[in-house]
Amino acid sequence: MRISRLVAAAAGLGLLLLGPSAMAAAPTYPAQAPTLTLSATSILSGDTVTITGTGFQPGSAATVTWTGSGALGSAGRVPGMAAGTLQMGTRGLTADAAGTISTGVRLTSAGDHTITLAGTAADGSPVSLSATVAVNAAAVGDPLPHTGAPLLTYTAVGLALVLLGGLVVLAVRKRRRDAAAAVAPEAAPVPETVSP
Amino acid sequence: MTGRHAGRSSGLSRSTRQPRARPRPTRTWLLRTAALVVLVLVGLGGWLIWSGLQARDELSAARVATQQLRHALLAGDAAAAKVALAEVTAHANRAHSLTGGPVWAAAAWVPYLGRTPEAVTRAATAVDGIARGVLPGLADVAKGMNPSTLRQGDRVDIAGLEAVAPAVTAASGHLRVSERQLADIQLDGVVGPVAIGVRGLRDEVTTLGDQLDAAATATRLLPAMLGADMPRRYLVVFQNNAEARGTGGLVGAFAVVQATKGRISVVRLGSDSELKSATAPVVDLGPAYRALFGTDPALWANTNLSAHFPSAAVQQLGLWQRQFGERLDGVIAMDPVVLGYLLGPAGSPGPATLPGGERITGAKVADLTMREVYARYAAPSQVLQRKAYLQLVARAALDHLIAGGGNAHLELDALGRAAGERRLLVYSAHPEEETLLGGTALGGVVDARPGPYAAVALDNAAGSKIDYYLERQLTYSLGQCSVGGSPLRPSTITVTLRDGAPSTGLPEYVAYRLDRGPASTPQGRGGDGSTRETVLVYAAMGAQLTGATLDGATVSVTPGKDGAAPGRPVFVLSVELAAGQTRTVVLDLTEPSTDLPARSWVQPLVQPATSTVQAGTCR
Repeated sequence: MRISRLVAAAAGLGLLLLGPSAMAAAPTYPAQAPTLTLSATSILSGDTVTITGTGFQPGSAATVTWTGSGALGSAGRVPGMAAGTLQMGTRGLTADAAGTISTGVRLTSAGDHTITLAGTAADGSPVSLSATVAVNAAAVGDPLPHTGAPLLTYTAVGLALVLLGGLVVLAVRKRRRDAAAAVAPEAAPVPETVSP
Repeated sequence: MTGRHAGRSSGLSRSTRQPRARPRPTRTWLLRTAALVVLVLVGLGGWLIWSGLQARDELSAARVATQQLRHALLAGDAAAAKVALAEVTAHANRAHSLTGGPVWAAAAWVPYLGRTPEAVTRAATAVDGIARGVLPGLADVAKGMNPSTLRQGDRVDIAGLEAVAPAVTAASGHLRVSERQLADIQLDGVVGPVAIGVRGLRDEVTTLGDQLDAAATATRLLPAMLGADMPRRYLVVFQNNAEARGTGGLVGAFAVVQATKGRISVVRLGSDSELKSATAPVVDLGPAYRALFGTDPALWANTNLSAHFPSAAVQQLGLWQRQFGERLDGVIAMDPVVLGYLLGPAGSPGPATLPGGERITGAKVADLTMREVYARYAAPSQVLQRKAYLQLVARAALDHLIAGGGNAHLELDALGRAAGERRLLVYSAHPEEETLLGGTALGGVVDARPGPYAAVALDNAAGSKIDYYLERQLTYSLGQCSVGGSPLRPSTITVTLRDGAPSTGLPEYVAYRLDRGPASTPQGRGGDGSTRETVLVYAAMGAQLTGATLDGATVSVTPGKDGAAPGRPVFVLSVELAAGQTRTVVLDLTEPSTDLPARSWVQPLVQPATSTVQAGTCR
């Protein structure tokens, strides 16, 4: 079991390194829809992306491979591959009677992952399809709510400051007046006390 | 408060405590100064308000006169343009001097409250700059670019176009400077009517700028493209919107037109049955294109699966060269709806007449060529007769147009409308021309510019002509910007498709289901008005799909990249539609937060489509 997985992984890697082979099938009218579909291209780490391929030979074997930082999943590292450079997971699958292949892959680490589906097309030619999925670190807590127009906030703060300033001025004036009243009338005409 | 208090005490001291009144003159002096300052401030404020109101009136009069000027320029009415120009200049100048003095300069320094006078002064300066630097040259441009004199029968006056080119380019450059000045005006905290006025000015100047840019591009492109130096040959493809393709519809009839020193003639006319397909694509458009469209574009019928017109045009030019050994200078694509706009009803040059005497009016050309013709020649044995008839229509329309004699202004309006709807597309095989075309609506590019973006195009996957009946709605909702400091915002693209075809009584050729089997089998013949569409949804640069549904149920889609390098995100899915059925596709996305305006469009087919954007702006 483990050996076959490693072989499948190596085969998947080989296809990856060769690059996805152009679909060898002859052009058709009406045009065919693309055959690799994903449930999302952006997921949170720990979420599962559903991969579906159509147009495969019914009952044929296929391999789904996913690579990227932290993609190490159900399979171990491919022998001979340096640790930390390229990590990948792989899974063997079989096309159903309609030639459809479907599986879910859970991706746990943030970063871009390449997903490749390799197998045999309905006409017997080899086929390899790939797509990229961005895995985002799961959000910590809820995002802050939007606070609305900052202009209103600034205006409110400004008005509060103006009011506060006005109160301080009034308070100071009142205290001065009270102080003046306390010493008046004697103290009010200060120059007179100086003059002879 | 304090002033009144001081006044009372000083009055009291004067009457009763004469000896102690000696400091009072200081207070009186202070009081008088304060009163004077208040008076001066009130006076200045009054002057600001009065001159501000005057300036507002002058600016809005300048705006009205600018609109009149723009209309006069578009109509090629040089006399009216001169009058309007004098008005704009006078009003702009008065607004500028009203708001240019030291009082306005000082008022602009007042924190917060000074923003309104500052905005008024800067707006007046910008308008004055336009009136002095841009508009005088435009009156000459209007005379030089008058469509009715530029177009003389089957010839376009290339020398006339070349003569106005420098003036147009200079005016367009000057206007962009004023546009930036207006854009830089801070409108936060500016009094409502002033802010509204400045926004109105911005819109007006942007519209004028876009028209000038278009005119400048035309003067640079047209002479060479119309064969000023070397004769040019273009492939004209007539797209049939009844079978949808990314750029519009399936290639039906075609023509080759030649332009020599501005004179245009039809060299050849044919139907798609004369065009030979290849077994592998003749142009390699790269792995992203192959991943989406495979080898199918090797067939003429599939050259235009992508909505990016240059991708279609290079495939078509490649196939043409492979078959005929001739390198053409470009491709012009149009659909029967464009012919409808050109032939009337209000437009010129009026109905075209077929050799048999049948009159083709603008109102019926789309229905005739995309629906009725299949009923008229319904038997499979009548294919050649049908194609011959469609060629007659194409020939009559082209001859009619090239011969001229209609109102050049109305024709230009019709072509502008067609270009805006992506129904009239032009590709030049000369790279420097294609770069210019790519910046206009005529280019039909799926560009790679940033900012909110949503577009939908269909490829008919059934080999039918059911798309004549297809109705489409696009709704693009943008979520709030930068929630929790994130550089991304959520967005939703909703595409609603309705197959309005009848479920019985359709001609065989219209109702095929070739995706289910060959036309010789009952499955392939279809006949129930159903269809299958490959739906391409183009999204913002950097957009990622977080989930998709079809009629509320989760659905998988194919992610890809398509369009101008490096490629715009596109999400593709296949949708089956029964006659009369409505289906709704919803894509949930995340995309970069920007304050750029949202753009959206729907591929042109026959039935009118709607496109709605729901978005708040980002700060």
